[in-house]
Amino acid sequence: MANLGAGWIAFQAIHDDLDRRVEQAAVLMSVELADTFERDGRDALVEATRARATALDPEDDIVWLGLADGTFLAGHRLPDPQDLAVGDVSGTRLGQDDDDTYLLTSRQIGDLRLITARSYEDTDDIARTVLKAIGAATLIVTLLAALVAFILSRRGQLRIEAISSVLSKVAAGEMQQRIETHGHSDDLGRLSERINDALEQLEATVVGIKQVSADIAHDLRTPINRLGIQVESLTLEASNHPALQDKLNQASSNIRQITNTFDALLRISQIEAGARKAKFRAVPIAGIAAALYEAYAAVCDDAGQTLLVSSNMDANTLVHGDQDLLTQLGANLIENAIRHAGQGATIRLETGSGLNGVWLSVSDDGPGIPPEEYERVTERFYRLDKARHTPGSGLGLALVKAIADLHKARLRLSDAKPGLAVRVEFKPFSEALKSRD
Amino acid sequence: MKILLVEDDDVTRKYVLDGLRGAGHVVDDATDGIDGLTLALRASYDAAILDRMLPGMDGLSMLKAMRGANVQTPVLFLTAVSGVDDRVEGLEAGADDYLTKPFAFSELSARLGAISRRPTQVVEQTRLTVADLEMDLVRRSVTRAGQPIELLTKEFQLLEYFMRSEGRVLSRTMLLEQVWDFHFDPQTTVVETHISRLRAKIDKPFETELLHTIKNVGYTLRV
Repeated sequence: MANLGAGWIAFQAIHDDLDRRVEQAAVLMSVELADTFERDGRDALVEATRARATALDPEDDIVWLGLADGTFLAGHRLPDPQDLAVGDVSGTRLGQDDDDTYLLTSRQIGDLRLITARSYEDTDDIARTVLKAIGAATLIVTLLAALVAFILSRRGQLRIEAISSVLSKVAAGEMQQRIETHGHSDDLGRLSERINDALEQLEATVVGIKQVSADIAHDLRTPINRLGIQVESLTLEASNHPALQDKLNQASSNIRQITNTFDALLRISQIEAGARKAKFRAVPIAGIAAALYEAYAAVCDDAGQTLLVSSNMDANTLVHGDQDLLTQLGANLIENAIRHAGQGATIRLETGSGLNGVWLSVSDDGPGIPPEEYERVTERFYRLDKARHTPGSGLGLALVKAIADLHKARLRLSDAKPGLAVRVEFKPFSEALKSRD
Repeated sequence: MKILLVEDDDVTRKYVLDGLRGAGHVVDDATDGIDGLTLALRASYDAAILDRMLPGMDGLSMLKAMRGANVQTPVLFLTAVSGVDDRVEGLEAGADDYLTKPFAFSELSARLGAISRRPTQVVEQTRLTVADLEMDLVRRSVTRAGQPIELLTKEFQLLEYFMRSEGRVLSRTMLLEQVWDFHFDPQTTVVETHISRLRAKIDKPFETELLHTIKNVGYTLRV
């Protein structure tokens, strides 16, 4: 922009300068001829005019000497000298083919009239050349500036997108992601470094928490189990005291509950740490659904609920994964539904496959859970019932999530209207093999 | 039975020794892999209980050496780490079963009984019989006292396992693994529900109870 303005001003100045030169040239010729008249008289003037006319190209300079009434004496022929006024005149009126503009002067010398005219053509050419040069220069500068601006902003944009992408991944659970700084030490670079530091802290904290809970579970398992064994022995010794034996059995049952919770917690830790990945095989999800139905139909029935299974055994529901873990995933979802859907509920176990993958879903028509809880319900020990009165350890869905993550499958909760629908979406077997890490 | 126990943790070793000897078994024990291997190669045992982590030579290597020397003694692994990975590795190396510490002795006892089955019993049979309960494996049919009994697939598989393990105690975990191929502990009554339905069909209508519950240990099928 600035360049354009400056260029325009420069051009104007140059143009004015060039115009003045034309004027000067026309006037100079007039003055020189007038001088000749002054020095050498009328005949010399006529002679000089004739000489000039012969030497000069009327496309550039025109000279005309004649009487006041328009009679021609010497110089170039003009069609209508009387009609010519001082100033800019079109070449056609001066008898030229082009309509280039001339600057015309007229002088009275004695009883004679002297007309000189100089064409703007040359200077116009120069002006045009200069204008083109300035224009080209401006264009080049503008293009360069635009290009540089684009490159800089695109780089900046890409880096911001990179930061954004890393943060999204971390939020999704990939704690080890970091921003690549490539040694940039500008604002974005420093920001990236700060964010990386924060992510480092975050990862360490999360890992620390998980490790602590796993350590607690691990360290407490042995003493808890010894406690269980002791209570068991006491139960046997109390065979003559049924009331006491009853109480001891309850104690045993509580101890088993604790052990189950710890086992589940440890299992989640191991799964998150990537255990079993190496043992992945082709597993048919429809087959798992069939096995789960066989196991749980009667259990649902006894609980006053109905289990329905719908899966096409012919469809290709192969998934790259671990059969045992996937069975446990399905079992946890069904047990979750049994526990929360209530009496008379219908629980649907479905599998299917499509272009984008294979899926398994468990849905019920019970009370469901509020959508704002969907995110949190898969956290360890999270309970909807904050007073924690309902049965269950709060680890069932956390385990489901850990297994889904291990299989790089997507876990989706939704409103079954009414009820809760949980769907696990897997990549098809062939695709999963391609993107193996 | 004659049993070999190789376990370096004193508490566990004593616990198991007390239990086994109390049940009338003869037990040889060792505290490291090399001693254990020596014993295993020298004498013939009905079953061996090996800890995974042992000084000298770990349980897995010991097992491989045993199998390499054609010692077919059934082996039960014990491990402290509740490893999702370890079980499969152990089984692939030739172990017959796997138990994670801490465990209840009754569970160990039940599993030991299951793996130390005499080889002669592995011969393929077309018929299984326990008292007046008969199962035809070819026709997939069951009768008791001559009366036909309708069973669902899983109920049949459950009964088959019991009949093949007649007299032996089968723990809940063993049933889940063998009949349903579940390698985790369900929080609901999968086993109990199916046992009760099976009972309703094969026991309730008849005089003698065959399917018994052994409290805190498991179930068994016997007269």
